[in-house]
Amino acid sequence: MTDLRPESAVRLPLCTSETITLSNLDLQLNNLRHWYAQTRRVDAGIQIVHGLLSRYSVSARDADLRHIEALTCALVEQAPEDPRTWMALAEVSAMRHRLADAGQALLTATANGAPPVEIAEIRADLLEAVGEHRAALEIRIANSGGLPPAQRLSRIACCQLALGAHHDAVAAFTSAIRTYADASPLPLGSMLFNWGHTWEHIGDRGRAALAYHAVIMYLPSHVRAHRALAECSMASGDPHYRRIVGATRHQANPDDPISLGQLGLSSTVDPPRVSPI
Amino acid sequence: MSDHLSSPRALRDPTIDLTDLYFFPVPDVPGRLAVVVNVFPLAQPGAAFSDAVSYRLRLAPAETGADRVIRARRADQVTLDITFDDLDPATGSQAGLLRCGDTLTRFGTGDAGAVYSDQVSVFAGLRRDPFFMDVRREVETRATRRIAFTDPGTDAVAGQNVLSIVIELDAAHVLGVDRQPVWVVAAETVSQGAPSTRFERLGRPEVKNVLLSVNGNDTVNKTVDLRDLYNLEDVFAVNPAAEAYRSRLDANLAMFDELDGALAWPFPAGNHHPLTEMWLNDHLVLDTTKPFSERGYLDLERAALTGQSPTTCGGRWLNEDVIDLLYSVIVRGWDGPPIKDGVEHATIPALPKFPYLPAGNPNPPIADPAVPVGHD
Repeated sequence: MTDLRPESAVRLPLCTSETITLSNLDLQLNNLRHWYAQTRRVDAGIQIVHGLLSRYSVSARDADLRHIEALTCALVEQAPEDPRTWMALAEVSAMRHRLADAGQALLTATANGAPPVEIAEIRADLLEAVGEHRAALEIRIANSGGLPPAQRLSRIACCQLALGAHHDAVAAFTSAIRTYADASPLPLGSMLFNWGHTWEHIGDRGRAALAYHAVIMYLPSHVRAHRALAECSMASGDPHYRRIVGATRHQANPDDPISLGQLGLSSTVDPPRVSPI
Repeated sequence: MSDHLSSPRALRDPTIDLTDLYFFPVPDVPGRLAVVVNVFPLAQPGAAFSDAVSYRLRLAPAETGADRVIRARRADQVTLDITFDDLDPATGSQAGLLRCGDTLTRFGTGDAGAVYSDQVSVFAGLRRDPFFMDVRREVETRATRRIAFTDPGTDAVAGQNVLSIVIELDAAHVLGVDRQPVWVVAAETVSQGAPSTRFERLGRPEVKNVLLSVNGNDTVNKTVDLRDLYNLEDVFAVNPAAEAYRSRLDANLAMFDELDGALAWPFPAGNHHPLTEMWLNDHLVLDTTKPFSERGYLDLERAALTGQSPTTCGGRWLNEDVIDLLYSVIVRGWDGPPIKDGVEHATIPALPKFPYLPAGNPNPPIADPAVPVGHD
């Protein structure tokens, strides 16, 4: 069972409110759009793509993704020799589940001289998307330079979890949380969402729901977390999930941290009910 | 660019990105001091402080060591913590709290939220960025190993905004009646809650972006970006084993000294550059008993290192041309002919009256987005 003992808890960090985070992000994006419109500089376009992807991670609006796709295609057309445009295209194609297109874009980025560290991260994402968790894990472990430590560790943890190495996964994710050193909730939201998604993938909707709940506490309008939580609820028929969905919004309050113990991150978690690998 | 965009972590989140720190006696008001800390480079109207970050000012009495370097007396430091609530959707403003020991001062962002009192006055909100420099030519100088400044230069910060926190305080009330004259200040952004993470720290301008930058000179760490590691160090307790920073400073300072072909800072092999320890103790230094001076930056440090008397209060005033002074000192020594970057003042200089910085530019120029936006 999930360990809820207080002494096992690892505190999740306090992060900037969703309101401030998204408001500031929109202001930055506005500046970038003007800059790109004036100069057509590729680096500005790439930054818009990354900013919009961050926005999309919360909003999940299809229109946002279509906008990102259109911009990415325009960037590739504008600067086909620039590996960054192909890497952006690979990321967006992967989000659209067009994995063959994503793989092809990655090959072109590599041929155009993209940094191996950055290519490796996207390749690992693609491998995970097709269930090649072991190959993805090997890349993520070997690729130490591409991401901040917390995000790298959380991706390793998700691979380990998918492979059934639960204790290693929990230890890695706990380390990821402990090393999280940002005020923004956006990377943390993605880490927690992917952690929940992986629990759901291996059949443990209880722990998945707790992770999704944590996402919503940081990012109350995180559409995919709400959807996933609702699906967990419908699948289980357990009203407990509905209570979780209705939980209060997260406030930045140092006395009210979310306990990682509640996320099933102690070292005494049970093996999953379903082990697909 | 001063301390703007000065580490990988700061690049990801402008709310933690300290840009500049200033420390000066209030003009024409004896016994009153002002500290200004700016964050959020290229802030647009509507930009907000984080509600999960503590914007911290650490002041401490200072002493001069046997090596003539001024250091903070950490045990006697006074800490000012400034925090903000979430954005009020109705007004677009934020409630703020200044905590100094047991004393709490509540305020709000913007002109309407500023508070004024004999003990402490606080303003927080969008203001014109008072910093100015020709960034492109400075970068070119380091890249080409030759002084690339022109006259006139191009101010890369012209018309831009920052989020500013301005505090005026009664020195006797906050720092003590029988205090020693010389105090230092450093700023930090730290996470709220426990354990706390220090996101950024800032003392003097350009320590991270220029003096600690990767310039290909450092034989110990040729490519490692030291800036986020540097941010983790306690500015008032410099790690005696901080050889990575000393090595980088020694190497870069030697490079700067060679820019004009003349040697201003000789030092024997195996020793440190004469300025390394001063830069490593990275804080502003102010004589709190002296009157306001428009040119005080590095004056107390110079006096301590040379054995001469200071001529000013030290500290740093908002309109000081710190880039000219920095390059003049590290290339030509304390008394050499000055080096100028061709940008002599901000588009709209600061005023000698609280809150000092001009109101924010409602239509800042579209900024060169050297900043990665968002991340997940």
